[in-house]
Amino acid sequence: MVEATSSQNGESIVSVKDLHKVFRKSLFKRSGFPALRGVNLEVGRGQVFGLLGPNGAGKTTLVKILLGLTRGWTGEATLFGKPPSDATSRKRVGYLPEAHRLPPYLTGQQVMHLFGMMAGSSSERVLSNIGPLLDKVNMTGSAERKIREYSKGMQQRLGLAQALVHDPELVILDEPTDGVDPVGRASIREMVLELKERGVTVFINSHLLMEVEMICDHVVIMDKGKILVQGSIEELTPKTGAVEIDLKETPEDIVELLSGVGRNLQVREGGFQLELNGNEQDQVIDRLRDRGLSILAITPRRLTLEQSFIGLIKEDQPGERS
Amino acid sequence: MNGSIIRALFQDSLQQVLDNRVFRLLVILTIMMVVPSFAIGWHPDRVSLLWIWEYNYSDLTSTLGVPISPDVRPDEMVIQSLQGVFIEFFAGVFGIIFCIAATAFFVPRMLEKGAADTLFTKPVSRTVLLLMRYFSGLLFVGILSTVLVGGMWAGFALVSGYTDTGFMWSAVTLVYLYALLHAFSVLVATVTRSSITSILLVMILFTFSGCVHTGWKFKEFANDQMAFVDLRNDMLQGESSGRRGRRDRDRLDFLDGIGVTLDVLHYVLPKTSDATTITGMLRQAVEGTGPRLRDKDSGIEFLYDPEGMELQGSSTPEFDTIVFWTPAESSGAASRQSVKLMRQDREPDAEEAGEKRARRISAAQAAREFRDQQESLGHDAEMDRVSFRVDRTRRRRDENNLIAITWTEGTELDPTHRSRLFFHWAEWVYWVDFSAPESIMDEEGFEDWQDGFFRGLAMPDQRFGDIDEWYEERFGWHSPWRFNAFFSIFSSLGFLSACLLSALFRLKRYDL
Repeated sequence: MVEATSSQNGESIVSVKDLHKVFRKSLFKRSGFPALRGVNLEVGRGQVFGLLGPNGAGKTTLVKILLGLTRGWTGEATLFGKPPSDATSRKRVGYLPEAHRLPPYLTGQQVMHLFGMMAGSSSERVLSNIGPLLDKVNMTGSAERKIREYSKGMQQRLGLAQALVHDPELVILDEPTDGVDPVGRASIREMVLELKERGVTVFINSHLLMEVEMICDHVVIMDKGKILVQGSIEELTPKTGAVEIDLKETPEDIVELLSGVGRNLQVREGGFQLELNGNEQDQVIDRLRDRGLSILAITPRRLTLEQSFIGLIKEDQPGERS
Repeated sequence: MNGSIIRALFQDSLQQVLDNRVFRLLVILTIMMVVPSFAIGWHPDRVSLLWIWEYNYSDLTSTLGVPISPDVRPDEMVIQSLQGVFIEFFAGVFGIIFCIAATAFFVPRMLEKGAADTLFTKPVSRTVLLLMRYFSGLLFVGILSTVLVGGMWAGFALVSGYTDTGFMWSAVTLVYLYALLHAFSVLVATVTRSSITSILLVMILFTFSGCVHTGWKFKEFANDQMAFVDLRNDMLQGESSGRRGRRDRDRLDFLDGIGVTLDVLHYVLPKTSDATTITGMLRQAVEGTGPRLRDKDSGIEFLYDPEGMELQGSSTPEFDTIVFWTPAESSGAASRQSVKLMRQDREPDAEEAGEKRARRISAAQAAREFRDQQESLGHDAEMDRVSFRVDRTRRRRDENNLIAITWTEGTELDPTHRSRLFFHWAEWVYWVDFSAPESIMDEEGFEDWQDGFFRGLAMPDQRFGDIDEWYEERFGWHSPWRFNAFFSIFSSLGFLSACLLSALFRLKRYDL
C-alpha cells in the first residue's frame, strides 16, 4: 500500500485514510467487487492533482465518496476537514462529472446562474462571474440557447464553467476535456493553470496522460482499487539515460564517427539519439567538435508519463494486458 | 440552506414547468376552455353571444333537447353544468391523466447518470431536491388549474354576472387530486427510474382506487339498505333484531372477506373519488349554497330562509326540536312576522299506552287534532291538504302531502294571518307555524310566503336509489369517520406522505 501525501503548506483540502469500498453483488451477499482497497491520500491547497488509472481502477469511486455520492465505504475521508456527508463543505467544491447532463430546459446562462446559487453563492456574485467564465470557455455567444441545443463539446465547456461559477476552493474535474476540440482543450488547460495561480486546488481525473503531464504538479496512479505510485511529474518521468543531440548537419558517416561510444544509436534527420553513461557524453561531444560539426541542442531523454503509466500497469497486471 | 439556494430551487422548478411542451399544449387547451365563458353571456332571460347575438333559452332547449325546470334560474343551471363538465370531467379526469404523463419524467430525469452527479454534489440535501421535483409537478397543475378555474370564474363574472367564489375551490381540489397521484408517481420513479413504469402504475392506481371506492360505496349502500329493510320489517311485523342476526349468520364467509378487503383497501388507498364531493362541500361552505337547515336525524333539509326572515342561532345550523326565524326588519308591522319549526316523534306515547306496537301519528292525524284544538278555542280554522314538489325524492304518494291549518287572529283592525303546516317523514312529524300581520301581506301573499319557503324543502332518499346521491348525503365534515370528509382527506394525505417518505428512504440509499 503506497501512501500518497502531497500537502504542500500543511493545509489538507482532501484527506483519505485506509479507504475501502466494496460493491456488493446483491443485497444479501457480503462479498462483492472491491472498488477501493485501502487508499490513502492527502491533497494540499493550491495543487493541481492528477488521478490516473485504467478503467475500473477506482478513480471515480474515490471522487464520488469524497463528494458524498457513494455510501457504504469504510475508512476515513474528509473534505476541508469535514466528512463527505457534510453539505457545507460541498459549498466550497466545484465538480464537473464525467458524462454530465445539464438540465435541457435551461439556457446556458440560466444553468450558470441557478447552479451557482444552488452552491450557496449570492445571485449578484454569481452574475458577476458568469460573463468572464463564459468568455473563457468561448460560450458567450451561445449563453441564451437551451442546453438541449448544445453539442457535447459545448456542454462540456459549459459544465466546466458552471463548476467554477461560485468561486470554489477545490475543483474536481472528471475527464474535463472529454469531447472537446483541441482549441477548447487548450483553453481548459489555461483555465486550470489560472486556478492554480489563484491558489485553487484542482483535482483532475483523466485518461489523457499528455494533458495531465502538462498541467498537473502531482500525480497518483491507481489500479485495482489501490495506489500504485504517486509523486511529482519529474519523479514519475525519470531520465532514461538516452540523450537527444540536434546537429546543424548530420554527416553520412555518423555511425562510424560514434563507434565504440554509447549504445542504441538512432540516427534521424538533423541529429541522433544515443544511450550514454558516465563520461561518454563528453567523448561524443569531443568527436563531433573535432569533425567540426555544429551542435544545436543536447537534451537528456525522460520517460513520458504514458510510458511510466503503462509500465506500472503492466507490472501490476502481468499477463492481463498486451 | 440559504436564500440563494431556495430561490434557485424554485426558479429551477418554474423553468422546468414552463419549458415543458405538454404544459404549453395544456395551457392552450385550457385557454380554449376558458374563452367561451368570455364569449357567451348567460343571463336570467337570454343568452348573448359575443355581445351581439341574443337567444332565448327556449330556442336553445328546443335545439338541444335539454329541459330546464321552471323552478331554477337557467343561467345558474347552465353555468354550474359547464363548470361541472369542464372541471370534474375534462380537468378532473383527462387533465389529471395528461399532467401525470407530462410530469412523470421529472424525477427519473433528475436521477439520470450525469444529472444526479451534478445536482447531488450541491450543498442541498436529497430530500429537498426530491421534494422540489414533487413541487414542480404541483406547480405544473397549480398553474393550469388557476388559469382554468380563475379564467372561467372571471369570464362568468364579467360577461354573465355570475360570481361564485366557492368555485375557486375547484382549483385546490384539482391540485389535491393530482398531489395524491403524483406522490405515488414519485415513489415509482425513484425506485424504477423509469417514467413509463411510473405512468403505467399511476394509471393502474387511479383506476384501481376508483374501483375500490365504488365497490366500497356499493357495499356500504347495500348494508345501509339492508338495515333500512330490517328496520322497516321490525316496525311492520314487530320482529326483533333476531331477523338481522339470522341474516348476518347466513352470510357467506367469502363475502365477509370481500367486505373486509374492500374496507382495508378503501382506508389505505387515496380516496381520489371523494375529491369532487369535497369540492362541492367547500363551495357550499364558501357560498352558503348548502341547506339553511338540516335535520341530521332524518336528513330533511330546508334550503332557504322564509322571505324577509333570519334564522336564529348558529350560522351553521343543524336541526333541533324547535327552530325560530325572526324578521330581518326589527321595526314596524314587519317585525311581528314569525316562523317556527318543530318536530315530534311519531310514537310519543308507546310506553304510556302499554301497547305492543306503538301507534304512529301521521301528519294528517296531528293536523286534525290541532284543528279541533283551534276550533275549541273559537278560531275558524281551515284545513287544507296540498301537495308540494320536492326535488331529489322518490317518496310514496301519501308522504308527499302537506296539511295546512290556517286561521286569523287579532282584531278586525289589525288581523294577523296564522297557519300551521304539517308533514311527516320517517320517525317524525314536523310542523311549521307562520304568522304575519294583514297590514304587510294579504292572504294571497301569505300563501306565497309559505309556498316559497316549502319550495326549499328537500327530502333525503332513504330507499334504493342513486348510490352517488346516497353517498353524498352521508359524506360530510361532521359525519361518522367512515363517511367523514376530514378522514378522507387526512387518510389520503397519509398515503401521500407514505409514498414520499418511501421515495426519500430509497433516494438516500442511492449509490451513484
